Amino acid sequence: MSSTFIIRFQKLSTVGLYTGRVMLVLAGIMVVPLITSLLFGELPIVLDFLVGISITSIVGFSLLLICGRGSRDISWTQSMIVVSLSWLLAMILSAIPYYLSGYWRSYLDAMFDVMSGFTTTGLVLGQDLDHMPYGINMWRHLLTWIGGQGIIVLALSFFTKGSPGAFKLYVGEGKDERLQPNVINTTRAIWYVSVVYLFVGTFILWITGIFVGLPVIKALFHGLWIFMAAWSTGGFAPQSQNVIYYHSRVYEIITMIFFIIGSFNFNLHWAVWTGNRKEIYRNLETVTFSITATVLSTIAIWELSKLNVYPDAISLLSRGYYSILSAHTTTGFMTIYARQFVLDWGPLALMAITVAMLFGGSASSTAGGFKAVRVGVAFKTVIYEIKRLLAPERAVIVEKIHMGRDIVLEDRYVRIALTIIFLYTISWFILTFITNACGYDLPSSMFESASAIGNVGLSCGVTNPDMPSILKVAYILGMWIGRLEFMAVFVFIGEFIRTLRR
Amino acid sequence: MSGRILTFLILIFFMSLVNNVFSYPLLMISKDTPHTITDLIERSKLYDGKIVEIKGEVIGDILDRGKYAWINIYDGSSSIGIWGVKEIFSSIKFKGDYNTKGDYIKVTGIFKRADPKQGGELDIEALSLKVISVGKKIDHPISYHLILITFISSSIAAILGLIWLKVNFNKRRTS
Amino acid sequence: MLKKIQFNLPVNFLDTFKGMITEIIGVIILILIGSIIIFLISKI
Repeated sequence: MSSTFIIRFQKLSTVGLYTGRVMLVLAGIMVVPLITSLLFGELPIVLDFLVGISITSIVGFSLLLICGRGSRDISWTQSMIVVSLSWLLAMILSAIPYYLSGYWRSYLDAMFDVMSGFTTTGLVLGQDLDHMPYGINMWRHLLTWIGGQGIIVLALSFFTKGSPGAFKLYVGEGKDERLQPNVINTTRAIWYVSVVYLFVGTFILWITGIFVGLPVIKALFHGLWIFMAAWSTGGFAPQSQNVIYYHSRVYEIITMIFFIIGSFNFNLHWAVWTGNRKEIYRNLETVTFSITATVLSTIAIWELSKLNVYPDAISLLSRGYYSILSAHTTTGFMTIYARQFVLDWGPLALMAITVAMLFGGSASSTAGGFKAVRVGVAFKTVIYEIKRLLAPERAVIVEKIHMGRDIVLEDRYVRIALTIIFLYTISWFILTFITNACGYDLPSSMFESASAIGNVGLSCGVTNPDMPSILKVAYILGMWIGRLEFMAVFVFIGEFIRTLRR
Repeated sequence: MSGRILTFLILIFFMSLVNNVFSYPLLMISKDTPHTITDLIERSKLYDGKIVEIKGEVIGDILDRGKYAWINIYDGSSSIGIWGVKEIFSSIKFKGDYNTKGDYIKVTGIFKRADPKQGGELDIEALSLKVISVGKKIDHPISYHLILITFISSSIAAILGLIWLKVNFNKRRTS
Repeated sequence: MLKKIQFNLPVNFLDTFKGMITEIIGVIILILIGSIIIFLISKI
């Protein structure tokens, strides 16, 4: 009797140990916006972050003190629980500075924006963005950049230093590729690519910002934040009008280039950055994405042009094409005002952009949705089945895909791909139904749900502080499930139910 | 003859008092006046191409584009971009941000749902602008509650941190 | 020039630079193709 208690306590201790570490890393990250506030003399905000750091540290230290005896060996199940638990705790604790600053109407709204940030979605409930302090904006954008890198990856990079639990935590996060043989080096590889782009991208946007008319310091911070939002395909922006604020085609195009690159698979970045540059046009995902993006854009633009929604080619590009690509990469930057989607766009264009949101970007990236690899596998499977039907009975047909190297398309890959696509679609249906049941019309419901499940961030007006609280909770769950790709969340719920049964 | 001329002159005098009618180009003046920026966006097809009058706080920056400039205004419901010749914006002193409440202005201009001159943006081409009330610095006092919470939470965090350090230090000694 | 970065990754600056340029150009080409199609559609 007592031995089972000890075993269960030890299992929990391991979970607590790793979760505690993640909390301390989170507290450390909060120092960045704190210093930002200090630099700009935003004293009340400095205190808001001090409180956030303190409470997060209290949780972290408490977990480490209680669970200090836990073993460092972590099972697959336990790592899934650590991931889910960390996300939940991080959501609650990171909302403290938001709520204290006064720009969110309720704690739920603050948590919504935190989850939106970490999952790199980009839906916003914060108010009065145009009067927001630098510290809070720094936190908003840093959250999405960090979220894109994965909270767990972060903790791995700085804390574990070779402990065996590392690989399992990494897989739980939803990134199931291996860039480097050692998972610690994989996370460092991801950081390398991200940090180099961070410097290059911020610099380019900074200079462009100055040319666009922003004052020098502001241009730098906006450049940094907009880059972080683009790279992480998050879609937050420091002003209420999102990218519209800059009123510049050049600024828009640069954000577009960076958010498309940001939606690429990290394996692709690594291949291209280590000499294998041909991969960029051979990779299943870039090919699939290029085809689906072009086809869906053509459909949408055709209708937008036919209905005279936009008067000329430049407008169709900046409002239509930009929006479709922003949707497909699951970024969420907006060059039109939210309500214009339902007011101006026709049904075909809306359908095309909703499908784009669901298809999403590449796997092993910050993008959401089905993921290009699964869409590619699905299409290839259809081609394979048709070939089989048309070929003589005894013919042997092998279908291959190219991801770094040529891989035979086996049944098990197809099964997993189709299962995940199915789960995403079901989730989307459920969220659409809930939104519709709350009183929103069907096209808006489908649009906004796709935006949440696919971690996109485009809004047609549904996301609003006045939306029903139950809907806010549903969207928080939707964004979370979409980002963690079902696995970690299912295990978490499964374990929870199993513990209740005992 | 002189009676007619006199009547005509008096008529012109009174008309000129009524808001400089002659400076407006020959476009229809909207019968429905938008009350808020949100209204403009919601009924953009109704207001498209018409002259509208809208009020709001200047936020952000005046973006200089050489021949013309952009500003953005916020009226509590939504924000919108306004562009025009630079001189129109010369009377703006305060632009809203964390520390500043921007000038509250009234803009009269041509509303476009998808402005072909600006890459299809929904905007207003300003014809005239007036500052209704000048902006000012915003005070951000620190509440007593906040100071208290900060003190308590950071103290507890520091104590726990020190305990943890001690425990770890001891562990390392004994291992 | 193969300078090993301090955190033990097999990268050198030249490959990094070429890689980044490849990605940026690849994306620009994609956008250009889309733009051409849109331009054609708008003329119909």
